[in-house]
Amino acid sequence: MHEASLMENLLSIAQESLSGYNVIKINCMSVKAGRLANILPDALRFAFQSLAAEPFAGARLEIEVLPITARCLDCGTEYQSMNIPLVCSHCGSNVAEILSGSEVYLDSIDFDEK
Amino acid sequence: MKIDVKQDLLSLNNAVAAENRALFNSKNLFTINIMGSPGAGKTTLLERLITQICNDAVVAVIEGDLATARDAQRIAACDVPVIQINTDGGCHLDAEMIAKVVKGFDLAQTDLLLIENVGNLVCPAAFDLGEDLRMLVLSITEGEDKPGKYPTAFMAADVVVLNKMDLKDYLDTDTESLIADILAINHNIKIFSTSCRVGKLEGMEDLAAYIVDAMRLKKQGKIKRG
Repeated sequence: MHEASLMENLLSIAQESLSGYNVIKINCMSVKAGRLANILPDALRFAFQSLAAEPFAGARLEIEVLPITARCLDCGTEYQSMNIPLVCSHCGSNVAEILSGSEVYLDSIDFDEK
Repeated sequence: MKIDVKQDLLSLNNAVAAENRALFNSKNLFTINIMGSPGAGKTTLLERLITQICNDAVVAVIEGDLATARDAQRIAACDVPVIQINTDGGCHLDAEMIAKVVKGFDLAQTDLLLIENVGNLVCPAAFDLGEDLRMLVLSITEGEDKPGKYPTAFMAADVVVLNKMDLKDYLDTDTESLIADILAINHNIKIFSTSCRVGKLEGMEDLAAYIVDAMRLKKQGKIKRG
């Protein structure tokens, strides 16, 4: 339930990213969250509705959950998984190095300019 | 129009955590972030650990809770410096909270900083505080299904302490399958079994020795995180 603090960060990053533009309307903000980041999309949307002021209020929030990417330490296969424990798609081993999956980032903002 | 931002929502926390880590490294201070559910026995484990370790290390403690200074009062009774953080409802400690309070310690004279996170098996794992070691405390009363249900905490931890082992004979918890599940999630994790109950203390020497070793390795410049 740390979606509220993440949303505060998202809004300040968005504000900073848009500072050089003459924004009249924000259409969509796209967020990507790795499976290991423990993000509940509904909780993030709720936090957005609660915290977003103009010009962000009313924008669409797109949230995509990304799979974990890992490298099997037994056979070297790189694979993706939405499930934990990780199971190598090639040899079935649980022993893996995590390459990504903890990230949560504001990917892009779609908006109308004056 | 559409602009690419690609900026991590945790970037602010991660930047402050990196500053914390640099500060701790400059003072040769070893730090442990202790996580686990409410009631797992984190504070009692700290009390026992401090008693076990205080001859080998100068210890300081940060206590994180939603409210009250009860844990800090318990730790202060162990005769070590302690600072309580109240998050007023916040479900985790973050790097900024740590940065604000560490100035209250004499870091140059401290060897080991123990940070007890807010009782929660989910959120604390996402927030780097600048620690060297992440220790998860799981009491066997919580049941053997917890690693499967809360896997990210186990993935993020370096050490897991299976606590309340004195109750093993009274519970149906299958500790063997519990350990197998933890290792399936994180094969690198180091597992300790403890009981912190007075008169039934168990496993404290092994855990303390592991921490003191890790602390010495850091002082010798042999481990570095982040």
